[in-house]
Amino acid sequence: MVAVGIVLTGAAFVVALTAPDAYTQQGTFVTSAREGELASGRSFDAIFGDVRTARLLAAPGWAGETAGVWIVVEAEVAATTESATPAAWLTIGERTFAATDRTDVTLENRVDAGLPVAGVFAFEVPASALDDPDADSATLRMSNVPTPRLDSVLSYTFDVQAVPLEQTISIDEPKRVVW
Amino acid sequence: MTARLQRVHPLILIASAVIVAALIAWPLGGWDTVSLQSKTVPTVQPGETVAGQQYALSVDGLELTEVNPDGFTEPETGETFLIARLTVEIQSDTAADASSMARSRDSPIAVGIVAGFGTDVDGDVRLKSDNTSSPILQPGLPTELIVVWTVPTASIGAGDEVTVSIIDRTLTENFLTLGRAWTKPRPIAETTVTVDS
Repeated sequence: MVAVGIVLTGAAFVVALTAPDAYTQQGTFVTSAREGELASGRSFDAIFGDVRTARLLAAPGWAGETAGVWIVVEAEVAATTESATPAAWLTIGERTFAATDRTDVTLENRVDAGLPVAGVFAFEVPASALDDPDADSATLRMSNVPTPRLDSVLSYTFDVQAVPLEQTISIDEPKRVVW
Repeated sequence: MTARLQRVHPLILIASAVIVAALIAWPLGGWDTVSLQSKTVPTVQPGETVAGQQYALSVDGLELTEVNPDGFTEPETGETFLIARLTVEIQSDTAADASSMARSRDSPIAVGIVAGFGTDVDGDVRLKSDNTSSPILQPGLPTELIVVWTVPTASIGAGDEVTVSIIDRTLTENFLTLGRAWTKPRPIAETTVTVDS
């Protein structure tokens, strides 16, 4: 009887020590995307494409001057079941950057279900981010809220050091495309 | 107990009390009258960057204007707009919304005429470069902001000297919900700024 008690007490400690923490319990379900291939999540389908970097980002009627640089990721996005607004963020090493809200000419606008649009996600980052040792595995994550929990996330990893730094990138309104 | 104390020579009791008092006072800096260092807030010049746990920021100036940067809000009679010019860099590794910078309970700056004790005032935060409202602050990227508050005209005038406190906070785990929040506000510096018109 005593032995059973000891075993059960030991088992309780093992369960307590190996239980996932609250952040893990509320973590996300990540779908890795490959360049040019369709990736599907709960809220969005997306195809990620070229990555470019520049000192200045320009849109009609707006010039995105920055003390840093811009990382621009081309993508095609469609909502899956109902209209939704993508939220994207970019992790380089220890730092996580949010997609810019300085211009409306990006994919961070309402996307309709089943109607893909082609556009860009743009990130304003310090120039030092391009020299980060982990810049060869920068990761864009996209979901329908900035801090998703228990929800799907599309993840696209790319080498930001492999692209030349341009002076200016001009972007325009997202355009409808057909898959 | 009392009988035992009465058997000890009074001089020994006095000497013991002095020794105990000295031992307590020594690590506290002695018996000199000193100001409590934890309550001394350093003074910095306008434009000088102060680094805390939440932000590294400088207060670059204050100005009064009748023209709200949002382009449409008109001042009520007896009111005007006070604009604080700041350069801000978040100290955490994750991008953060700057909109809290104008809310007196969350802001990293405190301007006495904007929010008196016990009041909670909200304003508007914009990027200086392109007027983006409630912009996102990116890690490692110092950003010039303007913070706009509505203030009574009688409370301030061009040429006035206004003291601005720089407030820092500590990132702590939430008690009931998952996540962390900036709490425990405390002033870490003060600067005196002349109000421009």
